[in-house]
Amino acid sequence: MNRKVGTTQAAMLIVNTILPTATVVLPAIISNYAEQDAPLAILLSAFFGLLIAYIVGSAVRCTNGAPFLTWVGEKSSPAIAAVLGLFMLQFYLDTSTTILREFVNFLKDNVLINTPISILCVLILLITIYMVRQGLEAIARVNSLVILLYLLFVPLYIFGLTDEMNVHQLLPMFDHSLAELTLASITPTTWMSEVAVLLFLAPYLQSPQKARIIGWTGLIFVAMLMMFSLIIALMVFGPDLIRLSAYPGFSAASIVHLGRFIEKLDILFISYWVLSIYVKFSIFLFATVECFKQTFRVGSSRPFIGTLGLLIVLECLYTWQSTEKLNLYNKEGRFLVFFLFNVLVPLGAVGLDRFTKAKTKRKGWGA
Amino acid sequence: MNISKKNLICLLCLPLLSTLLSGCWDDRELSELGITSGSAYDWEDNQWKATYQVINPSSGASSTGGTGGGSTSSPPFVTFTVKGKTIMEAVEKTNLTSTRQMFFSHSRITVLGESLARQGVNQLIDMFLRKQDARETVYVFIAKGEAGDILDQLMQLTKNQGAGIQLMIEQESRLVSYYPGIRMFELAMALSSESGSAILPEILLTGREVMDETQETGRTDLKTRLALGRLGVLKGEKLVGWLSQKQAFGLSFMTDKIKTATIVFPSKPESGDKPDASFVLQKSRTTVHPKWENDHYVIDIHIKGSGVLSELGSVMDLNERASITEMEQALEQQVLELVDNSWKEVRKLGADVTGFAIKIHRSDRKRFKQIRKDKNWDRVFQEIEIRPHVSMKIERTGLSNKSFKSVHEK
Repeated sequence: MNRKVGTTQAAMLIVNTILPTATVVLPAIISNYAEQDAPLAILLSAFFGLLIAYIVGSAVRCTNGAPFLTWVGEKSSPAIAAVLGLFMLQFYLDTSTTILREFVNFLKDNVLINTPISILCVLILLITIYMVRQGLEAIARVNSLVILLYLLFVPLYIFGLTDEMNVHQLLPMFDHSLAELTLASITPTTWMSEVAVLLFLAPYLQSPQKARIIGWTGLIFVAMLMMFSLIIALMVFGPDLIRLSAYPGFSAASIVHLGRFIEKLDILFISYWVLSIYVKFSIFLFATVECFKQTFRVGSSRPFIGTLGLLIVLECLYTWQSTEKLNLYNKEGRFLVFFLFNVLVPLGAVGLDRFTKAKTKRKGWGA
Repeated sequence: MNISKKNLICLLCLPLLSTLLSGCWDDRELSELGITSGSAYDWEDNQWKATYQVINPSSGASSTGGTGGGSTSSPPFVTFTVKGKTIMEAVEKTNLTSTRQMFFSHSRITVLGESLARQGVNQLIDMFLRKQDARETVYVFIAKGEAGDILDQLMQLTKNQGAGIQLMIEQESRLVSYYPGIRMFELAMALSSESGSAILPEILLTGREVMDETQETGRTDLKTRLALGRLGVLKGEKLVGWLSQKQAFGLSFMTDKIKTATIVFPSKPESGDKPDASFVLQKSRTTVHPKWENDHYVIDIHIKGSGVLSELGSVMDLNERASITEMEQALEQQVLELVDNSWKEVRKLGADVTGFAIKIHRSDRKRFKQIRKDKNWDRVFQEIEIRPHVSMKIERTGLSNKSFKSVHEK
C-alpha cells in the first residue's frame, strides 16, 4: 500500500507538519516578545528554518532515501544506530504526545468543554492509527485536499475581516531590539525545525534527492501562512490585546462576518483546523512508527502502532496534565530538545557521510 | 459453526455501538437553552447585579418584527435579574429561577450601569474574553441609572430588543456619526492601548415609566422609548465623565470616525449665527500628525470633507461661486468649533479618548518610550496643543439652484 510520495505532495506534507500547532501556539508567544514586530520575528525564524531545511535536505541526500537509522548503522556501527534510534524514538513519542495534548487542549478550551480528555485522546488516536495504517501516500493525498481548502478559507478570512483591519496597528515597526526579536524567533524556529521529519519520510519519497527543495517550499508556505494569520490578527486586535489572547488567530475568526447574515464563523475555522491537525498528528505518529521500525529492525510495524499509540495517550494524559507546564516547555524547553534532534542529528549525519567518503577516498589512494 | 473472522469482529463490535447511545458530553438541546439577546450589569451592595434578556420562543417574535405562530400576548422576551459576588455566580443563579440554561452566543448588546462603570469594568471584559460562549462582538452601552431597566423596555418596530438596539447603534454610526458603536473587543483594545481610555455610548429611557407590557406597545406614541444619548468616557477601567452629543461629534471628527453626517450651519454668518442650512457630509477624512515643539506636543489635525447641501433658509444664488465659498467657510468654522469644544472637555476629563498616545508612539517612539518610562503621559496629555485645519467642500447643491426664500425677495 505504501506507494511513493511526489515532491509537491511532500512539500504540502511539510506545511501541515508544522502549521496546525504553530498557528495555535506561536502567535501568543511571538507577540508577547515582539508585539507589532512579530512579522519580523517570523521572517527571522523562517531564515533559520531554511538553514535547517538545507541541513536536513543534505542529510536525506546522503542517505539517498534509505531508512535513516539503517544508514547510520551501516556508516558507523549498529550499536550507535540503536542508541540513536532509542533517543529519537523517545523524542518522536514526546513530540507526538505534545501534539495530541495541544489538540485536546484546544478542543477542550473551545468546543468540547465537558467531554473527558481521555475519551478525546482515545478517539483521536483511533482515527490517526487508521490513517497511519493506510500509509504515507494516503495521508499525503488527504493532506493535499486539506491544503486545497485554503482556497476557500483564506479569502473568507480576509474578506470577512476587511472592515475590522487597521494597517496602522502594525506601527511603529522596528520598535524592538534585535535581542527581543531573536528571543521571539526562537520558539517559531523550533517549529520550523520539524522539517527534520523528512529523515523518516525519505524512504517513501519519489525523489529523495529533492529533499532540500521539499523542505524549502514547505517552509516558505508555512512562513507565508503564519505571517498572514499573525498580521491579520495584529491588524484586527492590535499588539496589546493580542498578547492576552490564548488563540489570537481563532479569536479573529470569531469576528469574521459577511454583512449581517454570515457571522460567528469560528466553528467553521476550528473544523478546518481539526482536519489539518489530524494530518499533522498522523505524520508524527507515522515518523514515530518508522523510527521504532528502524531501531528494532522489525519487518512490519502494524502490530506495534497500537502499542505506541497507547504510550502516547498515557504520556498525554499523565505527563502533560498541566497547561502551564506545556506552555513553559513550548516557550523554553522545546528549543534545546528540537535543536538536538532536528539540527544536530542531521548535521551529524552529513558529517558522518563526509567522514566516511573521505576515509574511502584515502583508502582508495592508499591502495 | 463456521463464522468468518470478519463477522466475528463485527459481532464483538456491536455492543460497543451502545456506548454511542449515551450521547455526547457536550450536547445541548435547543428546547433547554435560554438564548440571551442582551445582558446588563450593575454594581449594588458590593455585588454584581446581572440582568439577562432571554428570547421567549412561545411569543412568536421574529428578529425584525412580524408575528409567527406563537402567542402574541406573551412578551417577546423575559428578563432575569440575579446577584452574585462574581459575574459567573450571578449567571449560575439564573438556573435557580429559570427552566432554561443561559446561552450567550447570540447576545447582541451589553449595558453597563453607571454604578458598575464607576467601580471598574476589567472583570467584565475578562469574562467576555475568557468564556467560551460569550461573544466579544456584542455592542456595549452605558446607562445613567439602572442598566437592568433598559432591558425591560419593549420596542415597537422590532420584537428582539437586543437586535433592535444593535440596529440603532449601527444606523447611528453610519448615518449620524455622533459616535461609533463600540463592541466588547474594541473596548478591550482601547483600554489596553497606549491611551488607556475608551468611550461608550449612553442608552437611556426617554420617559420615567418602563414599557414592559405587550399591550403597551399597541400605542402609536410610546410614553417611553429607548434612545441613544451622550458618550461615556472611561479612563483605566472607570467612568470618568461624559461628553455631550455635540462634543462626541467633535471627537468623531478628531478620530476619523465620521461615515455620513449632517452639519447644520448659518449660511450667512455675517447676518447672524442662527443655523439655517444643512449639509450632508458624505466623505470625511482626518489625518493626525503629532510633533514635538519646544516642551510640548502639537497635534496637527487635518479634516477634509465633502458632501451635498440639503437645506437652505436664506436668500442665495447657488450658481455663484462666492455663495458656495461663503457657506464652505461657515461649515469649516462650524467643524472647528465642534473640535475645539470637544477637545476642551476631553482635556478636562484627562482621558486620552482621542488616541493621541497611539499616534505619538507610532511617530515618535523614542520620546514616547521615555514618557511611558517616566509615567507622565497624563501631564504630557494636558500640555498638548491641537491645531485643527478644516477643509469642507460643497460638491453638489441638490435639485434647486436658488433658495425658495428668494421667491419672496422679488
